[in-house]
Amino acid sequence: MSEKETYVESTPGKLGRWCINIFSSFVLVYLFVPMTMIILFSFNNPLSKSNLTWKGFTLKHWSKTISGGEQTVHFNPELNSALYRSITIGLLASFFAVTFGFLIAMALVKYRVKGIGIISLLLVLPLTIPEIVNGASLATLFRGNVEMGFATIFISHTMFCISYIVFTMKARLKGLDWSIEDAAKDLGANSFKAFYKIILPLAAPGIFAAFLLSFALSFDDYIITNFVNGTYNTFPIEVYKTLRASIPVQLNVLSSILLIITTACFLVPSVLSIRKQKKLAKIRVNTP
Amino acid sequence: MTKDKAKVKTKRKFQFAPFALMTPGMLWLLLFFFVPLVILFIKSLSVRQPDYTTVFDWNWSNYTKAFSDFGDQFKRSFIYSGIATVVCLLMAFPLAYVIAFRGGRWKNFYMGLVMVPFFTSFLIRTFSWKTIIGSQGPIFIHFVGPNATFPVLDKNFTLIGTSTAVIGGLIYNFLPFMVLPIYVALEKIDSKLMSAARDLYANTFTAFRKIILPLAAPGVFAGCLLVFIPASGDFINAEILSGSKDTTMIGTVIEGQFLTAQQYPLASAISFVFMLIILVLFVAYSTVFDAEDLAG
Repeated sequence: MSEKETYVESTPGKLGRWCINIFSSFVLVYLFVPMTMIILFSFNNPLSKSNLTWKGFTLKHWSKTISGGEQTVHFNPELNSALYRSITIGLLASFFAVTFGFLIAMALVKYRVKGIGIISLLLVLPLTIPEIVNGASLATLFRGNVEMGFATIFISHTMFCISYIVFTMKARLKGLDWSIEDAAKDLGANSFKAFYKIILPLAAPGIFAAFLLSFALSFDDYIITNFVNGTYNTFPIEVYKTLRASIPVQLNVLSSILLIITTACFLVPSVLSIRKQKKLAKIRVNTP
Repeated sequence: MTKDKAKVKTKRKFQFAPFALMTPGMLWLLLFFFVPLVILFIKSLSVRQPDYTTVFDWNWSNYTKAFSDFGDQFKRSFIYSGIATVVCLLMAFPLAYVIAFRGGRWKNFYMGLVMVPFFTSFLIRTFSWKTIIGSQGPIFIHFVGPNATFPVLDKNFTLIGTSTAVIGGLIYNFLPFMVLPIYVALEKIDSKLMSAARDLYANTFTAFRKIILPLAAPGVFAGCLLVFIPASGDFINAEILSGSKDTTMIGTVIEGQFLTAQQYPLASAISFVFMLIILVLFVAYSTVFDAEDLAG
């Protein structure tokens, strides 16, 4: 950054720089427009069953959504339980998808595999085929053969997460220094111990990121789930069903809660790392 | 050197380990991705019986029907997602550029901001846009009808139900998929390269064209795919923000034929055609743009 600053910039150059900065800020703000609306309207006190126009501030929908209880116009207990269902499926599918994806990525990075062409093709294809086609094809597989529900959703979610994970993990694992594993083996660790003690800790941040990605993909999926869910309603399915009839404030509250949790997951680590960097910079300055 | 030698050594003997590592995941993909596609193909050549079961019959008429009856929806899907992809690119590139080159320590924080909205429900986000751009929403309430503050629009005016609303929804929902890969590509660029270009008397524009653009190309390539493919198959935006017959995309058709009309063979044929079009576009696109970097 400072390196570039040393150049003397022309006035049009400066102007252009500012234009791009301002445009980008607008794009960033644009991303948050619906979020702001959702949070604001979670405190709304609508008179009808649809939370569309501002009618005054209240906290009652927050307390109702969190404490639960009887069904009202703006509270549907089914939505809360659908949220738990989606979390369960997200965690389970992500666990399997990350395990499978990590193993594949490791095989691809560590070894020269024969038939790599076919394997790569099979890994890239799920990313290039529209979800709706995946959904329809899975439905043709399951329909009439098994009862659709938790198991079929879990199978489908794990399937469409694997490819994403392989590609993100592969990029991470390529950056690892694999000679450390050899060193561990030279020092008498067996393959399993070397993996457990060396590779796994080194790959942990990548695994965590892959897990988050996979969870987000599974948690938010409507299109594929819609084809394989049977009567087991995940959160997106239940939300869509609800939105056809009314717009309960509960939806705003639940989205706001999700937003707070994800903000904590994403932004807190980055702020912490900024502080760490500042500290490190200080130490570097102080050491002769 | 030593690395190459090691690779030659490992190449000679057959290795059991990589196959053992890959088997569970690849088997899962084979069983639940590849096999269903084969079944889908068989279904697409079948005839539906009165009791909703299907019998295989080399029935190619499903395919001719897919083209003749739903040609408009196919066209519309690709036009909508094409426009959305271009607009996303125009919005995402400057943002990714600013974050990557001017973000400094705050880079990760800004990227976090880009990602955060997309971890709340896709449906609720889209629905929120419906209330925002609705004629009673916070924007148009000031412009629509004779009693508004600025009565410039007719009282029947509404964006809901128009192609603008659907494309707008697609742009919003898939924007981060464009920002992320472009950012990753730009972030890798060594800022010394730009300094070097300037030392060699390139002006900002030339330096951008000769250095930044070629190095950002893999990110742009991946971003366009990540937006175009899901956007063309999406039906949520068309359903929530419009619902009108004039904006129906192919996703709605597949969902409707499959789940509502239960015309499994026809729905399978449409899906298969859609998949093939996407694959052909993908292959053409990667040949034109030489996609070596895509697979990493």
